[in-house]
Amino acid sequence: MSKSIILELENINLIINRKRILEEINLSLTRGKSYALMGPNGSGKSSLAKVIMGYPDYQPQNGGKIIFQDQDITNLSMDKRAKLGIFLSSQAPPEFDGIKVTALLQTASAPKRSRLQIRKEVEKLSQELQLEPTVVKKPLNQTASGGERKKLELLQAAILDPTLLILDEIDTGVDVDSLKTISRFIKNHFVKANKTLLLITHYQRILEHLTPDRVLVMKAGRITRSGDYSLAKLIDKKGYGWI
Amino acid sequence: MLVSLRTQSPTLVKLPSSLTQEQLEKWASTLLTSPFPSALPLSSSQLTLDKPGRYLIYALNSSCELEIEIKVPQTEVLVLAAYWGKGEERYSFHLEEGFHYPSCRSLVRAVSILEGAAKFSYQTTIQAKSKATNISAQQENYNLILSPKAEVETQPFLEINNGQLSCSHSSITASLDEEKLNFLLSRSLTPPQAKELLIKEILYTLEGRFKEFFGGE
Amino acid sequence: MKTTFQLAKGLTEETIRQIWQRKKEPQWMLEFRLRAFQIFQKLPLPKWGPDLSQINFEEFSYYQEVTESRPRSWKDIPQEIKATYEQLGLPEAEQRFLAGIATQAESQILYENLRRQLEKKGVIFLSIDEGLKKHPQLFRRYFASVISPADNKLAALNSAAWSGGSFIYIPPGVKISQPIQAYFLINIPSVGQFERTLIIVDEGAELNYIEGCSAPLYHQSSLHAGVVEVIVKAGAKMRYTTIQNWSKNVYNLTTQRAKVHQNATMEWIDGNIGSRITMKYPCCLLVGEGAKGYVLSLSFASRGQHHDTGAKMFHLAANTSSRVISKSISLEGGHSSYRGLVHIAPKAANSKSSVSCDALILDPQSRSDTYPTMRIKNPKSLMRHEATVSVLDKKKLNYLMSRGLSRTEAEGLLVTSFAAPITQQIPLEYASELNKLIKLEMEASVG
Repeated sequence: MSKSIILELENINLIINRKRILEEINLSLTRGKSYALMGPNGSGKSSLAKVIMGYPDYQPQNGGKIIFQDQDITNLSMDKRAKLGIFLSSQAPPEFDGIKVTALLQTASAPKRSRLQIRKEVEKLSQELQLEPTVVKKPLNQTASGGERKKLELLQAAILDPTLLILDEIDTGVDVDSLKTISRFIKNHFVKANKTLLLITHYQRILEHLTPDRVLVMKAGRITRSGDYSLAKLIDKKGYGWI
Repeated sequence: MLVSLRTQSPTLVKLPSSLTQEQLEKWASTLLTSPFPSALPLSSSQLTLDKPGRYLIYALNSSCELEIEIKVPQTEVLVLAAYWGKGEERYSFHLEEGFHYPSCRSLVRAVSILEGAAKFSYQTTIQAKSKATNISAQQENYNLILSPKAEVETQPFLEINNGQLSCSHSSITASLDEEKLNFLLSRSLTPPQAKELLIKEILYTLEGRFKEFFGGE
Repeated sequence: MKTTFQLAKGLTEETIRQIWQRKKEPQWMLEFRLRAFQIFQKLPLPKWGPDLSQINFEEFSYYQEVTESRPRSWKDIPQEIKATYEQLGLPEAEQRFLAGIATQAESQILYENLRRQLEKKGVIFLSIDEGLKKHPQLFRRYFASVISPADNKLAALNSAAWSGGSFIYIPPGVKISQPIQAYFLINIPSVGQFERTLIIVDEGAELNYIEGCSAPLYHQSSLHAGVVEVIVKAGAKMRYTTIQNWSKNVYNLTTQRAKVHQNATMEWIDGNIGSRITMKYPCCLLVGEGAKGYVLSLSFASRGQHHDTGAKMFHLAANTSSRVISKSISLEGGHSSYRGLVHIAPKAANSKSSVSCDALILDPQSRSDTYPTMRIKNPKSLMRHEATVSVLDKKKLNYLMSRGLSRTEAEGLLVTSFAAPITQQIPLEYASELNKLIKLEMEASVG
């Protein structure tokens, strides 16, 4: 495989509860590029993200393969995939009752970085994301608004420093100003650092801030179209019906 | 690495009538780690509170058989208990709380983490007598079972004898929350790290409740 | 109804023999009754719950035969009951029937069609006495297979002295879409004291059965110790709805239990409005993998009433789930309690149970308790229990009154919306009757 391909999906099929969720997905992502993954509700976008991340119950069937940075990770557990550099930002991250984001990151980063280092980085990044200190000090996502939760996801990504970021609807439930802040953050921390980005989105709003190199469209579990940014604009005008 | 919980036999603490945010944080963070300086070990199983004020009763890894009679109005009582049972350990948390006078507030939270063949029995009864109006009483119980032989029995009882109060109780017994577990794994925590963090989470909820109950309006 | 035969009061071995003789039952049933009687004599009354010390078992006549040929007079029906029928807007035919006035012929005409349709599908729908006679093997196979006489004293009493009730068998795959109402189809005289019901829903079949009605029934006997056994076989679905509004002299002590097999579903919907004392804990034994049990329980306790109701769920196999929703309302010094048990056995891996019991106390004299017990012996299971006790929300009350509702109307609305999760599961006619009834009870308490 060429060194410039960071992720390769070969013949990915997924059936859950006798329903076909993903069908014959073949995809190559080039290192350092930004991709937009669009499609109507139920087209399988989030499921594809979970397959790449390695969620239980999302194991591809029929001999499908996932190759990340030349390594076959098809049977690798989620935590190992995360350690290799894959990050998935959830659509709806769970709400914790007693764990702060700092504690999570300290555990994930030990022993490479000290607890004090992590705390300082969290403080700095929260300011950049315009996250209230009270939100960061509370248990993770507890009583946090939609926008705050997405920012907390990005804060974790910045500290974990992955090479492939899958952001599932990072723009949903986010107000105009927060969207600007989030986009700027993604640009500064990930795009400029040559990370590979897979942006799952419904709306092309965020794509105005983070222009993708390539747009992929999913429908009924398949990737049906791919094109450049103009494809996204076309969808925005005409909807998904014509595809 | 947090492998066990220290032991604290049932203790009564009378809190000052107001605490700054810093003091609140400090008190909360010592709950699990070290005894309070002004704490009184409870020598008998009967406790009568006859002076209004703010009280904390807590126990860690130490079974409780308590009858608390709140015989004054305008009193706040927080009861916290945590149990981490391993091997053949047996723990029980049996509490009867009786409200006799109006305008009192209480929260009881008892959590357990059970491994091996440990067993936990939770039984609480909240009674509100006829003069005890304007009472807010909450009970919470959370049990985490981590092994096939661990067992839990819970009996959160309520006996309400008058029509002017609000109270609730909840009891949840579960194994590790799949959603939270997967989330932590996706953030590169190993399975043992994720499990430890989820156990810590349960214990840290005691700190959180302490701050909520005694802090703010 | 005219009583043509009645045994002398009190229960003895001789009384039981007489019952057996008059009903012309097989030998095995006599042995069963006598054994149950011995158990009844040995078992004590429960020490917990409502006060049952007032029950004198020697007071009752344990067996009556009634004929339908001569109807009772409308004059004999108590005034409050007549008034309630009026206010509920029941059609006259129904009023007469419920009051025991309608003749057998009248009711038969009403429901003849339905009965014929069911017979064609192979459905057995008989009084339990006929069931024993006409289907002895089927009957014997399942009778007392879910509730043994040793279960509790009242079940033992019922097992010894039972008479009247329904016997229902739904063949495999037969799905009965409309709710079947016991009274109208079987024409059981008023309410029997020791009714025994046996229902078998065979594989893949479905039944929705309704017992009782929300209209008040004048119940002559003051002890009702019924037994309801339900067997739900693989993949079948059963819903058993009871709405009870018996006169306030009745002790309602019923044992209801269902054995739920693989991937089958059992729903108990229990509405307790009347009776002086109710002790009832519909139970599901989830014995097959994937079995599901539900209990929706509504109890309304007013002056002089004590409802001690709840649910019992036994998770005895993997992947079973149960849900209990209990809503209890107490007013005018009434006492309403939830008493429940959820037991998750060691082999019940991946089981889920959730219980929520909410109590609404409408005035300072009334009382509400909750006594849930959970026993979890399997680590891969999830058990959640929540309960709240509250009073009417003043803000909501004021809001409604500011929109022109009187206080009573506003309270009535808040109470019926509190009960909605349960009443929404009952057929519309019953639900609206139930809601009207609740409002009437509340209005009565203001006066």
